Amino acid sequence: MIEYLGIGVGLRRPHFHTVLENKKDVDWFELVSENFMGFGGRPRAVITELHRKKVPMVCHGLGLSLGSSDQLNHQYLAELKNLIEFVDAPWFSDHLCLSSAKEIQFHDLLPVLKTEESLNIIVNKINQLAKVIDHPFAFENISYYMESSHNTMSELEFIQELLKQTQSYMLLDINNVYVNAMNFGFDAKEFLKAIPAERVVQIHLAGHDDSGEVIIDTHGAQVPHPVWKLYQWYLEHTGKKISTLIEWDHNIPDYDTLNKQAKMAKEIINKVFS
Amino acid sequence: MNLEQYQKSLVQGIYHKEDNALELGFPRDRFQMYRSFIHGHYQSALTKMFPRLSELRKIPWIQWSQEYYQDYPPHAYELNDLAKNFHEFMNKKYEVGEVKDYEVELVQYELTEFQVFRAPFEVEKDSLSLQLNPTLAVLEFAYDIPGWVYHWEREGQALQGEPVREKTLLAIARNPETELPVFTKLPLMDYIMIKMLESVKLSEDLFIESIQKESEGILSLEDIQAKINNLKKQWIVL
Ligand SMILES: [Fe+2]
Repeated sequence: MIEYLGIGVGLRRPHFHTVLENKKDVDWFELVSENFMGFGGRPRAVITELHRKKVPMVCHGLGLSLGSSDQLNHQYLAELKNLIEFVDAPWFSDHLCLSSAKEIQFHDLLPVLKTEESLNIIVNKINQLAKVIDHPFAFENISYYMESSHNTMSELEFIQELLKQTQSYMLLDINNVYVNAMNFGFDAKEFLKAIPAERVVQIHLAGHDDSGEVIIDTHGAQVPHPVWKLYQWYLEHTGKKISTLIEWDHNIPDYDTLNKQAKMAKEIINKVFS
Repeated sequence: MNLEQYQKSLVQGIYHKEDNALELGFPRDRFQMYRSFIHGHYQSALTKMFPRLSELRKIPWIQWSQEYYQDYPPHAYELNDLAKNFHEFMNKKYEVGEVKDYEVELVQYELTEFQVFRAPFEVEKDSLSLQLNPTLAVLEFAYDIPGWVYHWEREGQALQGEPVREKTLLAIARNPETELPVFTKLPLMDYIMIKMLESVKLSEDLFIESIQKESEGILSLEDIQAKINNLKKQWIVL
């Protein structure tokens, strides 16, 4: 059973000083793994201090590229394992995507090919991962703006199969579900209902930009009203308290603004479970 | 389409701008959106790492970042690592006369500053010998690049003009207390002392003795001690 951590925010360089003084309403932090792996200096000093204060930290990576047929990179895994053990992360996560292929990095999250072949490769990778890193793993659903006509499964079918065929948990990004549902015209609530809630270990909430013809997941704004509503509905629907994280990666605001978002999430959880 | 073909086509389409969206089964405009996202990240990461050069050469900067993006697709998962071939890229441009030699040196300066900023700080505990700062980098320039950079930074303006042609030795090391890089222009003797410390482990006393021998008695023990103290003050020696 994975513990409920409460509400977290991403640990970002501009906030290092503030979080060491007073983390306010925030219960835990998510580290972008690659920003702390193999780094000395200030980043390492800050996580050492937070760990000493027993503040939970979860590692969230971008580099596994689960959807590519490249082998898992040993050096990357060794550094990741080192970080996860250093902060004693209750779980770690990465995205259901291709972040690299043929050993070339995209530095973006591209949609996986949703076929049997691709599914088998991802199942194998997740199983291999479990052999190397002895902490629970969760994959995250991404937002995407294109679906290949070569796919033989929907995103939902693909996720359901992955959960069936592995022991992996899921990091459910509610903003991504909302963005994809709007862009591709499916029902976000039906999608969420079909994900086995007992496997959802964490939720992401983030902002997006819906000023154009496509809604873009920007991680650069406040969580919008429809996403808060969907979040509340999901908690009511599952009746389960789920560790929740506010994602804000671009145009990073001052810590107080971020803290206010965490407070809003806390109020929703308190309301649903009062 | 199998996964192998999908991956190959993604790489071709993203980095080599092949118009293969339809082969991948994607609408053209949406694939183009990904291309511009990825190129945008790449360009802004590069601009952050080379803030002075990108200001100095504003016009070709976009063109250079596009060329670099195609010639050196990144292999490392760390976004910051994508800059590591930029020096080589600029050197090639220098060889064909597209950039000035001091611009290549500026690239080396900015890249090293960045690397020193993030290098791990691991020191031997309880060592009796003099230790160099593990983040230390020593650079040799044909131009006074640090003098040029300081001048415009002091003025509070973007880098402009040209540096003075003057052989310059520069040490960059991170102060472990402030976590900021410290820049020191090195006299030749200090440079020799650092090179010696890189190759042998000596206690402070033995080191002073061997430096005195090396200088054939020109430097007094006090001179050498003062030099070591200064290297310590500049976080070059710990
Ligand atoms: Fe997310």
